[in-house]
Amino acid sequence: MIEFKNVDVKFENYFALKDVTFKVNKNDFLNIVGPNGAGKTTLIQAIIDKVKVSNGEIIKNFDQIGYMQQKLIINASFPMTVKEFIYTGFIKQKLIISKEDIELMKLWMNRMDLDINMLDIRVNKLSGGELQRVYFIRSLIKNPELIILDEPTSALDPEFRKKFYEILYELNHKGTTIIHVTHDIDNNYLKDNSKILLLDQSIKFLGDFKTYKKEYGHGLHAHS
Amino acid sequence: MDFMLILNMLKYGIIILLLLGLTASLLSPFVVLGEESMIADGLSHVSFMALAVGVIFFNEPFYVAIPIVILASILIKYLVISKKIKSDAALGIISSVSFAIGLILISFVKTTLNLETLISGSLWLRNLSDVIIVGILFILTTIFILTQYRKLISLTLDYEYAKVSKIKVNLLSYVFSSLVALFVVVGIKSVGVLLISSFLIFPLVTARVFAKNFKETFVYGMIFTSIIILFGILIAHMLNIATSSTIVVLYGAFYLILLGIEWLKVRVK
Repeated sequence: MIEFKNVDVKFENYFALKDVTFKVNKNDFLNIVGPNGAGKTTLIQAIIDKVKVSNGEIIKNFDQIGYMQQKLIINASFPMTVKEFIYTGFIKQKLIISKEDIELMKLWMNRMDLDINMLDIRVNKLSGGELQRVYFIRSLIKNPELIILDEPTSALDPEFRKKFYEILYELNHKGTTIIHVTHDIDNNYLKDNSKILLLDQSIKFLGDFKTYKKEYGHGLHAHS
Repeated sequence: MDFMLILNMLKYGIIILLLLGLTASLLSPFVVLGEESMIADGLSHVSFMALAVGVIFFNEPFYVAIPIVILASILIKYLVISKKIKSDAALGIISSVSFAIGLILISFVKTTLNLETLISGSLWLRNLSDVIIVGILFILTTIFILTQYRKLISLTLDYEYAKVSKIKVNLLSYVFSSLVALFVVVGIKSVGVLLISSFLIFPLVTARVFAKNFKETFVYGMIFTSIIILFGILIAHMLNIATSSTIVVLYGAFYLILLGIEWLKVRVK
């Protein structure tokens, strides 16, 4: 689905990514981990063409992509409802939102433990955790073949975190490829067969979680 | 003069103002929320210069000004998108330099186009063909906004996400900028530099105080703008002052009142 071949990304005078080579296959669940400033977000931005590759190439083969960026920017003065916001994630968007689409949104609101009445309130009234869930809904609602999540759990409460991973695994089980960038590895929820890519400018480790645990033992926190 | 007689003489001017106000209310949310208020303001000054250039070399400055301003808007947009400039400083320069050039040019020519008309507009001596041009602009804008509504929201809300969602973000931004440029040129000819950027900014900033969703920003924007235009015309002619200036001042006063209400709301809670 995605293939990096000796990719360098250079900003001014330092390398954000150096000689990165890896492959994402269809239906992978790839966790990209690494310390702050390791180039995780840069790697994602290279996939979505936000930064230019200085050397090497990226072969991409996907159509629809659900993307949730690290910084959830909501212009506080943007007068739109949660419904209007989530609707920007749909593939076919009509001038008037159809009943079926609203039903689909309600379904996901329920699954994310959000009150369906929230659909009609303004986005700037949401708390950080609620906003993150709403962003999550937007990224997955069109049922894309690839979902990229950049540090999605930072504002989620631990209670919801469990559910969040459940949903991710369920989507993955149904065939969605998932790229999940995370600051530290959530030992409780990651499955042994999900892939880990430890990044610090270049790739330091690439393999499944089980092997990773063996090699790095208790040092599960990538930055330690 | 008899009131009905004045009304009759002003009727085209009034229709033009209302149509421009409604067009502006359709553009305003995307202009302001896309943080392009400064671009609109800069374009109005570029238009001023373009019209002045047109007066010197051609009989009909309007048709010279349109391509110049559309080109300027695309150029500014290009510079902003490709991050070649920090937009507000560069816009400030473009804006004041074009205004200065325009003023110099106008001082050289004594034609039908006088300075005061260009700055604060005039409702007198408007004819049916002016109404038709503004009418076409209104229809074009309505069609564009209705067909591109969702894409424009995505683009304005989050450029990066819109790009990932396969919206042709650059093309859409350029078309939108050109439409704003067209609005600015057509508008300046009728209502002057002063009113035109206010027209693009005030509908959204006043409407968002009341709007419960994005669609309502258009509804409230159109209602407020129409009321303020009609009051403005009335007051201006009773006190015998410039209509455009009166409308801008009314807009400003209305906005201040809304800010006061907002402030009180927060305090009382």
